[in-house]
Amino acid sequence: MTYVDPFFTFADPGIVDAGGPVAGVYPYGFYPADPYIGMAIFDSTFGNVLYYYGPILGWRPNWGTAWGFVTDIQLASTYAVTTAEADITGLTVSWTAVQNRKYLVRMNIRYSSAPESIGTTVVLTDAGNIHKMEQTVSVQGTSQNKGKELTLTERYLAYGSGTVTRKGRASKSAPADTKNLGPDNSIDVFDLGPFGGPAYLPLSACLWNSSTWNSCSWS
Amino acid sequence: MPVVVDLVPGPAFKTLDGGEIESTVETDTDVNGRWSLPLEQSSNIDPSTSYYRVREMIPQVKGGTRTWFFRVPGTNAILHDCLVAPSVANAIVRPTIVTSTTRPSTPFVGQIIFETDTGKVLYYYGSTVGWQPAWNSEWGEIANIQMTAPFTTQSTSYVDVPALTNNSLFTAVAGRRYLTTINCWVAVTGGVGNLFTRIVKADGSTIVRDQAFQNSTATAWLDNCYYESRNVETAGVQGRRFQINVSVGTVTGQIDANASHPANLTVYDVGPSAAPVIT
Repeated sequence: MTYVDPFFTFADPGIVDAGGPVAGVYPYGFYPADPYIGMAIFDSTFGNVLYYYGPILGWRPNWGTAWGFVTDIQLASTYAVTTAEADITGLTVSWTAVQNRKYLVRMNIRYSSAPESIGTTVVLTDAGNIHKMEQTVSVQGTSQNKGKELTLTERYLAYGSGTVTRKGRASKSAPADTKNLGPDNSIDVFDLGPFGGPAYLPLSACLWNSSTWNSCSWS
Repeated sequence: MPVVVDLVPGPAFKTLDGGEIESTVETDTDVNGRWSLPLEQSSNIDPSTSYYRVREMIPQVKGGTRTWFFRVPGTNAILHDCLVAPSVANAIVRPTIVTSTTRPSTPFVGQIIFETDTGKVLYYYGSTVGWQPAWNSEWGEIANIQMTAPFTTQSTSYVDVPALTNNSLFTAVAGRRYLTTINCWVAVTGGVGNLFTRIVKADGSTIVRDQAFQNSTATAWLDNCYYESRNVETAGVQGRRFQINVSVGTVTGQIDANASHPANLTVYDVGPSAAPVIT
């Protein structure tokens, strides 16, 4: 053992004064057991600087910045468009949205048929096939659309937390035509930043009627 | 006055026998503010990059907690001679917990706050730039305008698409880079003609990016419109205007939009182009 005597404790030592308690360095899986909201850590496994946002949100990057890439799917196969609108095989993504965050969903479709006589419609939908963005391409009597890239974007605002699904679908208006999409059809999802503050607690939900007017629970 | 000494970055062991070193030790100063502690010398610590942190718990009215970092030599020494600069990773400071309405009134450059109501972690960059996220990160989407009804024109000179025009869309910060994107559905009907589109700044003439949609045969066509441009802006309020025209006045150019396929013009902060203006 060596004794350290802080004789010059209050002199300017010429080093960085942290200005307050220093946040810890923790490997992934060994984060602080008793964090407080606003606590910062450096994750030495992944290199992330994270902040504690309460038991619901847990450890997250700075809420006020874009968190970037979330998920994607890119297909190597080519898809033959059907007359009726149908899923583009395999072109589906799901992610867990965080309440009060904004997301960009971007679908890129390569139109690979030539010649074409009339349009093909590509659609970005949710899991229930509700259209979120769509695009019809129609250039009569030419083949100039071969290889054309179609980009459809959706700006999704997560008013609640939970799983969100997006799919690519397509249809054509001339049954006799062969119309192909792909390869390299893709959907990317990005976190764009917040549109509201973090939801530290679950939202309260109260339902009542004439007999149990005061029933209330967390949801 | 309490004094707390712990090891950074975390648990450590004696090289000689593998025994775990006590992670945190505490003592109190004497009436003169002096203290001393027996500690394991750094040459006998595994991992070898470990160092000690000492926090002197000085009351706020006397200046607040002081924090130093040091390594312990093989002989007794005074703290001043043992100090080291912490590595970047270990020098992360604890943000001051505030709300967006209770930010520090006399901040210093580099001060960090955590706003519990907005969740934002902000750094102070001086009176010009103010409180902002970390300078070297992307700040994300900062403005969006969306159109959910069609717009048509037969004009052969550029006209604004009103629902995709805002002369005060965002406030730019000097030294930041901005990405502007447009995504919509364009069409021409009524004859053979071309459609020209562009994004311009608030002055109506400075082009951010433009794109032409040309077709020499079809009398009616639809197409996908998606493009983007990256710019550096001067500080202050900035606008964006989406404009279109057609090649001949006998055809109709259209930005088709509805709830199922809205047209979006969006501006993102994509990171720094220069160092912040610290004042």
